[in-house]
Amino acid sequence: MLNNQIADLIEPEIPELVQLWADSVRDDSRITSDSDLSEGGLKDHLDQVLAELCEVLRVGEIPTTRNTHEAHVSAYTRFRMGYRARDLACELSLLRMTLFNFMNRKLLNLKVDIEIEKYMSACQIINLYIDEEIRYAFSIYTEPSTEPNP
Amino acid sequence: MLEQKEFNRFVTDYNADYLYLLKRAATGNYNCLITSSRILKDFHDVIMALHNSLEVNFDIVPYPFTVRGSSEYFSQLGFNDVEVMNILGFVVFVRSAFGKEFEECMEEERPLYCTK
Repeated sequence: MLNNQIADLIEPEIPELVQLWADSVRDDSRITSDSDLSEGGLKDHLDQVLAELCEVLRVGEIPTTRNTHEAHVSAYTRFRMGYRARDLACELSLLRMTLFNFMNRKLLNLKVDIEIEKYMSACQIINLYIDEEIRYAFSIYTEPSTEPNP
Repeated sequence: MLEQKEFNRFVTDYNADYLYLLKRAATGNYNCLITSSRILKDFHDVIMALHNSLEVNFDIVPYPFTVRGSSEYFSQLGFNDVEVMNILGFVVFVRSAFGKEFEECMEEERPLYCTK
């Protein structure tokens, strides 16, 4: 199943993907909230997010609030760090691009025989997973009337 | 129909319970935490489902439900380095005690009993 193949391609390369993404964030002049973050702070939790995405792909589930907990943690942590919402949106856009560029390059290099319907289904899961994080981020950035107390 | 005030109370209760669960994990005593985790995850899922389907807002943000988290996340919740290591150790404990990942245990239909 293509979803499993894609998860198998992504999972062992998570450290490389995180680094590629972090480099693209650092290089993006639109993003300024990252300037105070250490490398560890910037990459914080993305490995768990990608691991969760791989699991969602393997199970073939549609991403919802029930299977995107680590994505929520990532957005929540940025929110609590004082990250600007538009910077988080840029980060997630770069994550989407990094993932698709990586996945497409791998599939092309491996010359995998792909059924377009299955490829579209996998892309849809990745898109919906990231969209769920964006949707959650919108909620926590715009709705709270009080700061949660740790 | 659920009102915003009641929803806020659900979120407040959930946040308090989640912090309590983490505080217990932070001591390194994981006994029966899996049972509490399952109940609390269900509570979190209900809150998210209500937020999705009703005209209610996150006046108070519910803490994302995770025990994997990150040191940054748990630090923001007030835990020190040793406590964070203990919280993250819960996942390792679950794997060895139940022979499956934490998330699989959350979805398990059978009851999972406390281990000592």
